[in-house]
Formats: sequence, structure tokens, C-alpha cells
Amino acid sequence: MPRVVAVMGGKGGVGKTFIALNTARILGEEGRTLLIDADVDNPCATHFLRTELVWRESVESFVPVIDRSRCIECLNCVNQCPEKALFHVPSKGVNLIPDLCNGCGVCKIVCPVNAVAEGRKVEGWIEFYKGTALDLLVGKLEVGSRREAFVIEKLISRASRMWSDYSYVVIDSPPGTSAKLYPIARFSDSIALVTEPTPLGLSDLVKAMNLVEKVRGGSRVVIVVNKSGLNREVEQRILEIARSRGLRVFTIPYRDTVPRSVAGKRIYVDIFNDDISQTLRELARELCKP
Amino acid sequence: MGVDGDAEAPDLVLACGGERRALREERFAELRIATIDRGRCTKCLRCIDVCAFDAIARGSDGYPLVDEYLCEGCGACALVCPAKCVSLEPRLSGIVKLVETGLGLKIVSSEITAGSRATGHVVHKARELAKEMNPEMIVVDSAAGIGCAVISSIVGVDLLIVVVEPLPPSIAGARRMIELGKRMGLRMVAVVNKHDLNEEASRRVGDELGIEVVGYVPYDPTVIESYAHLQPVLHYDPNSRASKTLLEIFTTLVG
Repeated sequence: MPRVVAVMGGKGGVGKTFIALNTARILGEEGRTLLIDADVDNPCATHFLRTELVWRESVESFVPVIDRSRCIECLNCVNQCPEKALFHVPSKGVNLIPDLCNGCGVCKIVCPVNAVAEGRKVEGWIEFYKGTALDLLVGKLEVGSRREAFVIEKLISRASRMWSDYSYVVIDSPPGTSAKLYPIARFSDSIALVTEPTPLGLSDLVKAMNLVEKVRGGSRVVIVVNKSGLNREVEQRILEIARSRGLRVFTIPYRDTVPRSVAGKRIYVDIFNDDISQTLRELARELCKP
Repeated sequence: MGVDGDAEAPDLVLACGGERRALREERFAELRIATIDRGRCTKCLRCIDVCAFDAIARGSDGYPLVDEYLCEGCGACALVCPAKCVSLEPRLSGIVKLVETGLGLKIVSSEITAGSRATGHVVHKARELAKEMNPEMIVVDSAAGIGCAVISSIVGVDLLIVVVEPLPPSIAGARRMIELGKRMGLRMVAVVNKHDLNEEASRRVGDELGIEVVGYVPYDPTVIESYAHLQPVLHYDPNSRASKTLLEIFTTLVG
């Protein structure tokens, strides 16, 4: 089985993708590596890697299709739909608002005359790209779907069926602290929590730490302070919190070479060989320690 | 009045001076989690088959185990259980709070319980509370992306301001945002942030996105400095380049 590394952090824009791309690139030099772009709202890893699309699968969920010829308009389904996605119009029968349906299937269970047939709705896509140094699995939410947690869950479970071919798996997580991060945290052997030394970064880091502590199964956790130097006082507090929880901290200074590498669609360790590259390498080593 | 629509990582109160006092607080426990009474369970495991979310698995002792992070609380398991041993228990899903900040601004913040799936719900509640206060204008700060929290943040707004950087990943994200906004029938304009990162790409943003660009904010270190001082940049340094541009944009939009 591969070593599974997740790059997480509550706040958006702190540099998760930057850390994930570089970690994956560095580990790709050691063994076969799969990068998973789980930021399904707006996946962007393909912008930084030269890869070729190999396959694409849809992520679908159940939606009810009401068979009007059988329906007796008892309205059990309408009354028991937990998402209130079904409604009844006297002349037109039972109708569905697809965007509200979460595919639970309660309507099918409570229908006494078997008038609820199985329909499918696309919630997102999984795409597999092959690269020279690194393969990429991307999850993409269908525009209009509210079910990013479902798409992420299917993405990670699809990935787990193919990752025995790899030595390393790196997961780039979306921002946030909700249940959508659970499948990522649960499958990971080690987790890098990325933050920035601002009061906002600190507040979201604590939330992300609490989430990870609640769900992780004994994985290694490290903190990455990106944009270091912005605010010494807040940075000191982050270091203290990390120390009190026994977590190792990696620090990346606030320097324009980082946004320049991102703006140029390049991976940092490919174009720079400095103290930041050194830290990124040390971080990758720490994350894949057994 | 401001509403923080980023319930998973709420920062708007912090960015506007921090909390001086809470004027109102509401807790929500609307979501439910299936709970199995082992005393009555016959281990028939029909609940596992019917669960659309793979939230129930067979434990090593043969009893079904509910995964609280995957359970959507729909109750399908309770409906099929012949022993009637499944109950749906409420869980704290989040907090909505009306706050006066250190700068005297009124903001409704929303915050989910870590690991909850109630993001959209809680954002919706925050907007309802703001509406109840009947302010002249409500500004919702949405989360990133196009998912559940964002949909709840933007549904029914009079104007959607799409903030975009002149970089390919951001432009790709803005395109998806605009596709969503169109589906929802919203009026949209764009603001290009950090336009000087790539002047040429910035000039093309309007054409590429197909919506009007109402302003170009320069990359200005004062912005991130202002966060570090818990102040909006307009307050922290009204003479900064970013502040001047922002004022112009708001004047154009609000008149």
C-alpha cells in the first residue's frame, strides 16, 4: 500500500495547492506518485502539470422518476422527503426539484404502489491524467450541484481502488472544516495543515486541527506556516499551539518567488533551488516517514 | 450589514475589528444522525443495504455501525428496520451570531460544528437573521468555490460580484462561478484583484468571462497588513492604492 499524504487547512488561499504540488513532485522522484486534486469546486492542478487525459467517469446519484401511470397520489413521498425536494401539483401529480434531491431513496421506500423508478443525476466527474513524473486524479463538481461532500467521497474511494500501484499518494484538499474533509482525513497516513500567520489563518487553523483530531486514525500531523514574517506575534502563537500539541512546524517565508512560480504555472522546486526548496524537501521527507 | 457566508472558516468578524459584543446568538441542531438501539437490533442488516450514503457498515460483532460523518439523517434505515430500533438523534450543526465588531460594524457570522455537513443550512440561517434586522443593504461574503455554501450565499441576491485574479486557475474558477450565476438567474459583474500580476491577462478578463469588469484592484501589501491588524484596508489605510480603487468601485456600484 502507498503512503497517503493529505494537504489540508481550513482557510482558502493559504497555499495548500502550492504545498501539495511540490510535495507530489518531490515524492515523484522517489517512487510512483499519484496526486489527487480533491478541490472539487475548482480543481486547478492540471494547470501546473503536463499530463494527458486517460479516462473520465461521472459521479451519479439516485433521483426518483415518478411513474404517473402507477402513482395514486397518496403523497407519502412528498410528505416524507427529508430534503423537501418533491412537491405535488393537483393537475400535474408529483414533481421533483432535482437540485434539492440528495438521492436518499426514502420516496422509493415509502411508495406503496412501486411508482418510483430509478433515475440518475450527475453530481460530478472523476478524471484520470497520466504524466511523465506524476499521475493525476481530479474530482470535479458539476455546476449547480450542492453535493461536493458526495463527490469527494466517491473520488477518494475510486482512488483507493487504484492506489496500490503507487508508492505515494498526495491529496490536495479543498478549504473548509465540514464533513466533506472526512474521507480525506480518514484515509491519510499523514496530514500537513497549511496556514498563514494572520489572525484569520490562526482562527481557521485551530478549526482544522479540531476537525483532524476528531476524525483521524493516528495519522502524523505537521503544521506548515506559509507567508512567514507577515505578523510575528500571530506566528509566535501558532508555534506555541503547535508545541503544546506536539506538532512539528515547517516555515516558508513570505517571498515573491512563491507567487511568481504560481503565476508562471510552474512548480517551485522545478525552477528554484533555495532555502524554500530545501524546506519543501524536508517537509516531503517528514510526511512520508513510516 | 455584513453576513459571513463562509461557515466553515468564518473570518469576516475578525477582518472587521474582531468581536466587541454578541447581540444575538442562535444554535441549530436540525440535522439528525441515525442511532441504533443494540438491545432491539436483530442484525438483519437491511439498514446497510438501503443506505444511499454508505454510512452504515457491519461491525466486527455483527451489529450495524453508523458513521456519523457520512450519515445524512434521511431515515431510510429507520423505515426499513423490522425491529424499529433506529432513532434519529439531533446533532449541533452550527451557530449563527449577530455581532458588533471592534469597529462598530454589525455582522452576522455563521459557523458550523467541525465535521458537520450543515454548511448550506447554517449560511441560510445567517442570511435570514440579517434580513430580520431589516438593514438598508446586506453584503454577503461567500466561501470560495461553487458548492453548497456558495449556492446558499448567493441565491436570490440582487448583484453578484465575482472576484478574479488574472491567473489561469482563478479565471477557470470564475468561469464556473458565472455558469452557476447564470443558472440561478443573477446579475453579475467582475472585479479583477491583483491586476498588476499580469496586466495583459487582466485586460482580457472581461471578454473571457463575458461580464462587465467594474474595477481593477492593484496588488498591494497593505491589504494583507490590514488583515494582520484586524481592520478592513479602507479603515487601516484609506490612502493606500487598494483603498482608493475599492472606493471608486463601490461608488460606481452603489452610486
